Amino acid sequence: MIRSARKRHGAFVVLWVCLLPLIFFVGFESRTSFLGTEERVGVPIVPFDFGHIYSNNGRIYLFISHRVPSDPLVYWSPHEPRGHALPQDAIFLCAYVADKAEIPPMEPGFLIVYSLTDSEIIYQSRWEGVP
Amino acid sequence: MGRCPLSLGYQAVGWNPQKKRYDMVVLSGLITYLAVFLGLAFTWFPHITIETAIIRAFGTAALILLHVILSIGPLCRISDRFLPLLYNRRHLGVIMFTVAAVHGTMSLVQFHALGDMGILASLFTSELPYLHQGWVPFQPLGALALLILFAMAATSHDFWLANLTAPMWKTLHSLVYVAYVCLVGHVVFGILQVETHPLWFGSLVLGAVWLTSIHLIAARKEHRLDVIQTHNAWISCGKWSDIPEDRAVLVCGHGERIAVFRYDGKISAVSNVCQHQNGPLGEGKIIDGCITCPWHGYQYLPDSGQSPPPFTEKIPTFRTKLEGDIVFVQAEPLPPGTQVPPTEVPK
Ligand code: FES
Repeated sequence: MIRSARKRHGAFVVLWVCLLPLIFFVGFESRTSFLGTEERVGVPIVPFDFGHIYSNNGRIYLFISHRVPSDPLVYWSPHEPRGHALPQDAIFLCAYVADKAEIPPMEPGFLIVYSLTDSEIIYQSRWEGVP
Repeated sequence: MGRCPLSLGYQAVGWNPQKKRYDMVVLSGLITYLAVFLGLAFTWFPHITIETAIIRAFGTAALILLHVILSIGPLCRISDRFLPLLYNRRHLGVIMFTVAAVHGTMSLVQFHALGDMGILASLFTSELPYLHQGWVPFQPLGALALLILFAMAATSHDFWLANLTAPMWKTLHSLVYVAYVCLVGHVVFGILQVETHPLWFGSLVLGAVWLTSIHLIAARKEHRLDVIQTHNAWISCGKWSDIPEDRAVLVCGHGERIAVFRYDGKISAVSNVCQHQNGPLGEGKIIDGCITCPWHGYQYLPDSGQSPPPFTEKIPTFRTKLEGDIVFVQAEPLPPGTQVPPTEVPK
């Protein structure tokens, strides 16, 4: 291999050596953010079985404090789910992305976190509505 | 090349029984990995869908293969025991791209094909609403990596090496490092945001540390060969008996490496750069009295740097001498094709 090709190869490796620690650091930081930075979106206002509800500037967010399942989707249902399957009348609210889900104000009922990957309900909780 | 084969005994690129055996080993390893992954996935996560299990099995397989591919180059620099892997690396690259393409295609179908938006539009825009929350779009990173891997797999044939020219082809294939960085980002900002077991994050970091370490070790070793000895008119190449028969040792002259060959009781030195596509002649060997390039088999006479008739390629040659047991080579190259009497050593 000629010298210039070796130098170019070296430059790519240097770029890589600089970028990887940065990616790992930012990735790890953003990952841990959903493991407990409560002030991130506001003050918790409703205690929850598997997480908390926050309000921030009039918007309502769900924050899962347990393990976040793969491809999580958030549903609301007027009836309590039985087993792992979604109730027929469950309404899709949003996907749980970037460590939280913004949910619309819903009537009292049940809030459900469903994993698309696992095709089952992972978490559910009675929903009293937002005061 | 458009030329007749220059050496029958040195077929570095092309199908041969060794390459076929190599591919069989890789494919069986891959199938075994996929089977074990799927088996464990359905045992530990009984509700996982078949699509998700396949996406993850192929994704992890591609990532492991990429680590293997990126390890081969530096490992060969560290020890030539790994050279057989280097000669077959392109096959491994194409297999890895195929595996990654299955992962990418299935992900597109699973996550982007069922909406009311075009697949590609959905791929590149579905994460935008979350950017202000600090979300890093991992799917375009994966797509970019796949695009680079595709360009590499598509141009892996010698036809492209010949037509793009060696420097261009090499630059294109150096993009594998960009693809690797994109893939690490794809995994870190994608699946590892939800799969929080330390084993997964730890494995990826360990892989990066391994690759970085062997690249740095190899670079250090190579660097010694590239120390230009401009202050010396004659460069020491060590004892003549330490040069393996029909092989070369490398030293660095004015700007480029010099391959010093021992053969048939003689020592000759030529430029390390093959005229064809800049292959490393010093990693080749002498076959039928000619220095034979390990890449595509171009041949040169060791004492003149000329291809045997009727071919016309010429490479620079260097004067050599023996002082005691030590071989010396003159740092200054002679014009390509200059005849230099070889230095005699005991047979
Ligand atoms: S024969 Fe092609 S690079 Fe030497």
